[in-house]
Amino acid sequence: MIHLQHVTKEFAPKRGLFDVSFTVEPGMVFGFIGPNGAGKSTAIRQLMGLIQADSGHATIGGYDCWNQSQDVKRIVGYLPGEINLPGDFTGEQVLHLMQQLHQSKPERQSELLEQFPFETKTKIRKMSKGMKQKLALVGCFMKDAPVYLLDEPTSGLDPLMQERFLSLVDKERQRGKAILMSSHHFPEMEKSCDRAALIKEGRIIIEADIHELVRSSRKQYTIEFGLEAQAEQFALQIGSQRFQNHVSFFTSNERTLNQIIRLLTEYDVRAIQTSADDLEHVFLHYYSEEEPS
Amino acid sequence: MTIVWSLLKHNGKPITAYAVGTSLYLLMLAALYPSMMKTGLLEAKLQALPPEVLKAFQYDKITGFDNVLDLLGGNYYGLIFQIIASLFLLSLAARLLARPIDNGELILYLAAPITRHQYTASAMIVMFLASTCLVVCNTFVLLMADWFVSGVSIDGMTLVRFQVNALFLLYAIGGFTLCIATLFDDERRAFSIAGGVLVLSIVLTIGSGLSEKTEWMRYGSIFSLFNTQQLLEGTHHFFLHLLLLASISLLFHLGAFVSFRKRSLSI
Repeated sequence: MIHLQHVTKEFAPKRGLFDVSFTVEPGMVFGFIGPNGAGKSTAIRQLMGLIQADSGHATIGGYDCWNQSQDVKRIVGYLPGEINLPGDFTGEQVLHLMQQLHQSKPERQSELLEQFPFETKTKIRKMSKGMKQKLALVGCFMKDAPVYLLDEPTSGLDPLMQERFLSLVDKERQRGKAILMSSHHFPEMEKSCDRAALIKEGRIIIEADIHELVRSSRKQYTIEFGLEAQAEQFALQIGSQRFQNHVSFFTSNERTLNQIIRLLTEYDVRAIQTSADDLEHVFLHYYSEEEPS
Repeated sequence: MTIVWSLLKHNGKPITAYAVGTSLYLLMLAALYPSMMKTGLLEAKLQALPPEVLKAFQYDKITGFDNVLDLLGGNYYGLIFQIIASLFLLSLAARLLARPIDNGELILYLAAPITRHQYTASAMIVMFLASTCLVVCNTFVLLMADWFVSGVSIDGMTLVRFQVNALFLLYAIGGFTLCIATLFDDERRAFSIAGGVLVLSIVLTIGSGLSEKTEWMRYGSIFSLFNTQQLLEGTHHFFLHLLLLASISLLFHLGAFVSFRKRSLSI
């Protein structure tokens, strides 16, 4: 449904998008993860026909995102990263205008307003960030489009609204929608995405199934020894640092882990702790690994 | 039509403010004109001014005023209208394009299944409607004054020529400001470039009145295509000037369409 093929758009060296390719199929939530300025929003703008690529090809539903942007936008619900709306309009006026521009159904708007309630008579300039985000979410999803492009969708939402948003995304996925979601909020990505791509300085550094990505991440293990002397000896053996009678190390390699367990049979081990398998570790792993030394 | 309606709603207040403000000023001048003529104060004051200043304001006719248009030709349409028109269209183009591009508000429209041409056309229609509204209100007020205030005695044909020429001038400046607004991401940059060109045009108009040697400066300014003095005297190349203004308007509007279609937007 959503295809980016070798898309490059260079604003400056290491700024923009460089040879980015990925595909989002119907019924899939694709996570686009990266720090600020990595190129997530640029990729989404590319798909919305706001930016022309230097090279490569972006299509949605078979339509070229630059040359057939009107057709593309007919089948896309878009949530921008920065919610900027005319300050003089009320929420109600914005929703009414969006309904007319997108020709969406009023019933769906009412359903969404029940899930994401806010005072619709308030003027935009008087709204908090959370209110504007809810307004944008209602505006985006009331279109009932087959494709959604969501740039930082939970930014400014409280935990309850975040949960509601995730269940809405899940429902839409089950209805066969193709959803591209960019964020650096890891728990929501982990809960909602099927696949994810990590982007850094405009390049995708890894793209995989989200669970595979988490499983393959480098994890931290902490061993507690009965004696500090043993901790010291073990730290020397594996080339790690000791803190009192604890030794911590990172590994993503199963062979290394098995070797370490074999070594540990000769020690008085009191406890073994592992860090949670989460996306944040995957992110930190890839980003710290790529940092120049 | 949805976009035009929405843009009009969003920009209705400043359009109304300019139309009502200028109309009230014209009404005040028209209402005061008979008493000013009776006392002879106006002519005495104008004669006391240096001829360069009078020329800058297109006040050549200091020998006498036949009707209120003689006064307005210098007082309002000589220079004030040009300044107001520049400010009005600069701010309107900024509100319709430069600012929504700069602060990202444009995404409200561009996320919908509409083309950039459709948005540009809507902005253009709003500029046309706003310019027409300003001129129609001004004309209406002058006609009202002619009907209700004795001694105003406006020549209908001269008034029509004044207002049609003024309207075409607004269309041309509107096309220029809209085209510049599509070129930049930064509202202030677009505003300062378009404003700079219009200020230069006004300076050239004023400079042209300083001496005979500087008279050529008038032709470097778009405002030379709205010469009120010649319109009053009936020596004005009325249709030629309308044609030139319409061509300038068309050229810049086409430029706005082309530049906005092609550019990448960081919104």
